[in-house]
Amino acid sequence: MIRQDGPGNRLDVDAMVEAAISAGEAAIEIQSVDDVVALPPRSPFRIGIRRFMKHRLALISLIYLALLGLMAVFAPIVAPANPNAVDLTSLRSAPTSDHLLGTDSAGRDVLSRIIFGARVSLTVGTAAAVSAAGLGTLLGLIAGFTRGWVDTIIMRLVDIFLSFPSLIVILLLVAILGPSVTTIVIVIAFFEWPTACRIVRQMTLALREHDFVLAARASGSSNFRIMRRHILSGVVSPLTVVTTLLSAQAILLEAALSFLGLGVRPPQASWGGMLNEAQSITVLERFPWLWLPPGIAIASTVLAINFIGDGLRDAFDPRQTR
Amino acid sequence: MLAYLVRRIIIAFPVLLGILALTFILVQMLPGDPATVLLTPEEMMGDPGLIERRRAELGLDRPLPVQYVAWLGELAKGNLGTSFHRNVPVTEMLAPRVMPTLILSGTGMVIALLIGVPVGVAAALRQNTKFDYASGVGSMVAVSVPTFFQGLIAIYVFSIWLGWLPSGGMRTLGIPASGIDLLKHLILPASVLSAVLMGPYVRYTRQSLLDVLRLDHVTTAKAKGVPRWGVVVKHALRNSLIPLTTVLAVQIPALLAGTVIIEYVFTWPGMGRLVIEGINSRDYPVILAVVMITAVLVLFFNFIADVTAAILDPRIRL
Amino acid sequence: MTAVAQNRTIAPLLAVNDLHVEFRGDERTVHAVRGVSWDIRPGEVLGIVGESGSGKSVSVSSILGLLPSPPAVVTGGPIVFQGRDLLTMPERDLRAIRGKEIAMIFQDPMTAFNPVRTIGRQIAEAIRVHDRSVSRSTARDRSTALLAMVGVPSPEARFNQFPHEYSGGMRQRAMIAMAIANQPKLLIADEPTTALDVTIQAQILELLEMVRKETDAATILITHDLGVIAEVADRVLVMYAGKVVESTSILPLFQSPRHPYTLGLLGSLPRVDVRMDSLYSIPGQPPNMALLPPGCAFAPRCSLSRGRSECRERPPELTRSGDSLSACHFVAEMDQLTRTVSEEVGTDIRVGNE
Repeated sequence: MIRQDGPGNRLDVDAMVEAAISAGEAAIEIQSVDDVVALPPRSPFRIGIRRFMKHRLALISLIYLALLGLMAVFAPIVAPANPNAVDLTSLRSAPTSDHLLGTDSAGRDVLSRIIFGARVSLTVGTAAAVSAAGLGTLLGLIAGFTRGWVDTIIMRLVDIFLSFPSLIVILLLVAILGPSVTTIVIVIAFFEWPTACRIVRQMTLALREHDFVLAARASGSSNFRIMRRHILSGVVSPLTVVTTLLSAQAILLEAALSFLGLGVRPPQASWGGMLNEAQSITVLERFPWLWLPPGIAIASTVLAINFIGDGLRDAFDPRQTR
Repeated sequence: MLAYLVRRIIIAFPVLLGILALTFILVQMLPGDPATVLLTPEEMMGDPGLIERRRAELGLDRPLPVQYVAWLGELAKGNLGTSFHRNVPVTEMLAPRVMPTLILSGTGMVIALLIGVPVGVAAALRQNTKFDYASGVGSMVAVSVPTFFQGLIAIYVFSIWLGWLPSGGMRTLGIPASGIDLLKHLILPASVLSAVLMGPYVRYTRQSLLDVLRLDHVTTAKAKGVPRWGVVVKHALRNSLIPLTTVLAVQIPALLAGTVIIEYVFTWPGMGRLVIEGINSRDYPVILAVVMITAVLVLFFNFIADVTAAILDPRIRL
Repeated sequence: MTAVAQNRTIAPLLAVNDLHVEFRGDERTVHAVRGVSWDIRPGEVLGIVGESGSGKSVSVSSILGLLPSPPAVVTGGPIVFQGRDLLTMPERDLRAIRGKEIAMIFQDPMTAFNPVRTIGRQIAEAIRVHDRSVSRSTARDRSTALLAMVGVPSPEARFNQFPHEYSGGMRQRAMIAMAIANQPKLLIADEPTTALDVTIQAQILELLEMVRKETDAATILITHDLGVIAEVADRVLVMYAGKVVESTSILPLFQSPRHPYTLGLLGSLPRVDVRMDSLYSIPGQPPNMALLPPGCAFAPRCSLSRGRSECRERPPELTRSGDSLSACHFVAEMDQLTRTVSEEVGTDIRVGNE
């Protein structure tokens, strides 16, 4: 079993929780001590943004992702060719001026497929992470706030889900339910929510003991109101960090699924799917344009997201020595 | 101490039951009627009552909870079902695959520890230097590049380009099995596997050590006149390694996921590869057996982690 | 009061000269200690009094070089101990002094001990780190004897116990045992009783007194509690906002305070031995150490200043006033202020005049 006060799963949950709690608490402290100590009034959000700006890698990554997003949205305009257009005359041909990244085993233009592939990755990444974060936040808030047996049940669920080898079960579920982007998003979200839930619960537990919550309670605010106004605002910063990291995970998962042939199916372009071709030694050796571009695409996107997550974490935690 | 262990086991129980229940639910969700699976079309058409009788044979007409209990009973007897694909007991299919997976994942984890922890310690002690920064970025990259891509690159560089190492499999056919041969086959996949784990290990060790170094008792040790290395080793390191045991346990699911992919890319004959084959051939009993075993293993390793933590940290034993 | 304290011509054991400590952060710098000078003689008990943030703990931590080095920057000095400057000493030599010549007792014994090692081993470590020739068993015997000396019951058994198995008072005793293990010439006790219950506080103070008598060590006692000062100190430094505002012997401090802040501290002491109409509380808030006003740091809260321009523009220097040193532009008016406040409070707030 996973200890309740221990870290979550493969993400830096523990470090994040620590940072999150101190960030949340520090942010709140700044708010309340603000009047006493004559600091120029700066909302913790603004302080966060300033610090983020100082993190060069995070900034570059943000720009990169923004460009990637634009490229994905305007893919039909940006791509030089139809990604599904089969050209039987040039199968696996090397890069030329016509096909800047060459063609694949079915004669399709690699560059266009890379551009369209961004759609799949970014959609899955965002949708899965946001859904997981949403579900996780809801359950985490409830668990942390109501405590008692509701809390125990939710946490046991979290433990169970985290014990399962998610990759295998995801593979299984996608195999059963069919490999559409929607299914993939749902299934991935299904396994990512426990992480978000854990963090939100930790934050809620810490925050609910704070004086301003007790004060709100004493003045008769309903639980729901308290949850919404006070605790939710404290939870937002660590939640942003978690969501970023969850989306990185989601993209990697989708890529793995497609690579194994069990995710997004051709002819739909997906970076992982393009790497599927690289399983033969021949391809590896003689046709590097088939597998290097998609791999680099995935790696750079996930790296960018991780840098942003790192930047966010630094931005929201004033206490970390960096 | 004993009381603590018993308590942890008691808490683990509902989670175990939950895992089993969820697996059973997954079983029910699978398409296809188990009763018809191993029947040929002629058999089915020739005898209309056959399906019903098979169903009764397999106990499929009993209410679900009863089936669940019966299923649990079979599990307890070590019966993991029969493969749809090959019609042999799943246990037979699994047995030869267990060792290779353990060797691969075990080595991967050991490499990750042997490199990751010292690097994390060094990064913490040299905070904010180029080394610290580089190791941080390095960990980030290791975690961002997909495992299978790393595997492909590794194969390309070491197997195709340099020709030093074999590109897959566990043994070279035709020559007698030897340690060296195994090592040559093991090194590449285990190293790529370790990369995925190393990132978190470096990060966590570094953060943990930094946190401990900020604690009061470290200042006290310094005030007593303990030399710097003494402070780090005797007062900081041991304390910072305690939370690491939990990290190790918690990374196990990631380790298993990585193992599945690595076994696939490197055609390593382990359980991971078996699962993929099973999924491709819709061999549900096999898939479920592996799912369940891994979940139980994760549970088990978490328990070990708790025990280790309790051994290292006297405060927990209360 | 010890006889030694009366005689101020003996050379000081430790002399701090113009100490400055800054904490440099990302966005701002905090001047925690702004030019502090004092000394302590062998066998003397020096009390340092002030609120949190006054710089008392920071200045004392910098003596042994215990401040984390970014972000702390220590300038000024020298801090002279046995003829050497502690601030410029090589780390190896400083280490030889830590725990041996100068020892520190920390505020929170729960966090000051390493939770995963036994108390006994930690005390033994203090001994063996300074004398490699001491064997494990000898160190063990000595540690056990030290534990007995400080009043920890069943010391042999307690040697093998962990910090969380001790009670708060016992832990502090163990910490004292660890500090005196090598018979230091100077003991620095940083708020040794703050984390303890009141009844235990008295015991610990008694213990410190006994230890001092046995070892003849000079003691620096940091606290925010004037009552503790009254019990044990020979001389007192009052610190505010990183500076010493008053430096005097124990009786004059209570009988004729020479700084409005000191007066405020005295006035806010609830007394059970005389009738009071009200407690005098110092108006305002402690200053923001990152944004200090140009003149006297206490001026915004000072009843004596009354907004006078000298207070707002020029920081006061420590000057002699009778037997005390005081940093106040209008120290001559202190007697009048004392009378005014006493009227408000309903009793003569100078102690010892009832």
